[in-house]
Amino acid sequence: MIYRRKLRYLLVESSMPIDLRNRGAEDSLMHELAKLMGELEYFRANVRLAAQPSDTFFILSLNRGYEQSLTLALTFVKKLGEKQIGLRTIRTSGTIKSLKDAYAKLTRLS
Amino acid sequence: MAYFDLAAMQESAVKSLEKRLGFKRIFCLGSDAELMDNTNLQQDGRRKIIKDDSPEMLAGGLKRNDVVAVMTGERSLSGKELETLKEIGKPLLIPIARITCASESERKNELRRAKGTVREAMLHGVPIALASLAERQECLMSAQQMLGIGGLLGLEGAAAQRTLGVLGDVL
Repeated sequence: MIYRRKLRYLLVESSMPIDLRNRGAEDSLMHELAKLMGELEYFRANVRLAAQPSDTFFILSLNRGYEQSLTLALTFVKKLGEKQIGLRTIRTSGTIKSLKDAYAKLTRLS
Repeated sequence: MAYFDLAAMQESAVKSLEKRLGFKRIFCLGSDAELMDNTNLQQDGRRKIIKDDSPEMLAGGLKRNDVVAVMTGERSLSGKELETLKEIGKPLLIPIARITCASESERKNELRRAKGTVREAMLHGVPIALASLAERQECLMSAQQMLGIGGLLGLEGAAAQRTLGVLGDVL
């Protein structure tokens, strides 16, 4: 029997512009997360870049139940490559659409 | 529940971020409160936060009305000091940026120290206030992340939520 994977999505804001569509930057972020979460937890969480609506916002997907652990790991990421960076989790949701809507609302407000 | 934070940054730098990060308000050191040290001992009506580094200054500061909270530093508070804090109802401020923005080697020590402080404060019934006290944009974090750090320090669920609301009452 094949079970449907239940995912959670996290809207994250970066204090500096980063381009995660660039493979090097994404690998560097995932490497940091694996280090902070522990490799086993990282592979169980199955963290992926789901979307990057702008250069300071991105959406990560992960398996349900690992949100807290990823949120904490993102708090401790302070350097990507040579750049000093701060990552802030803005919202968690079960659908990517609601996060895109939340992002659209944020950009309208600011 | 309304969450509050305190940052060591200019108000203009954090104003646009507070709602997005899940806070009702981010207070700023300098404009909303100031750290009490040897240079500003006089009572000028401004709210002050005292560091626990010097026992003499702490003993004097706790009696003052303008001192609203005690910030943890290098020294751990004695049982007597914690009892006094409980009696006068002033919260113990735990700066989170000191943990999250520390280098890898320092982080472990800072985490252990903060966890010990939280444990002692909870044992003595002292109110705890979590605040980022971020000095740079990179060190600011969302309320969700602060709650996560609270959990890491031994504050679970409602207790962690309460610690993020304390600053709203005292500032």
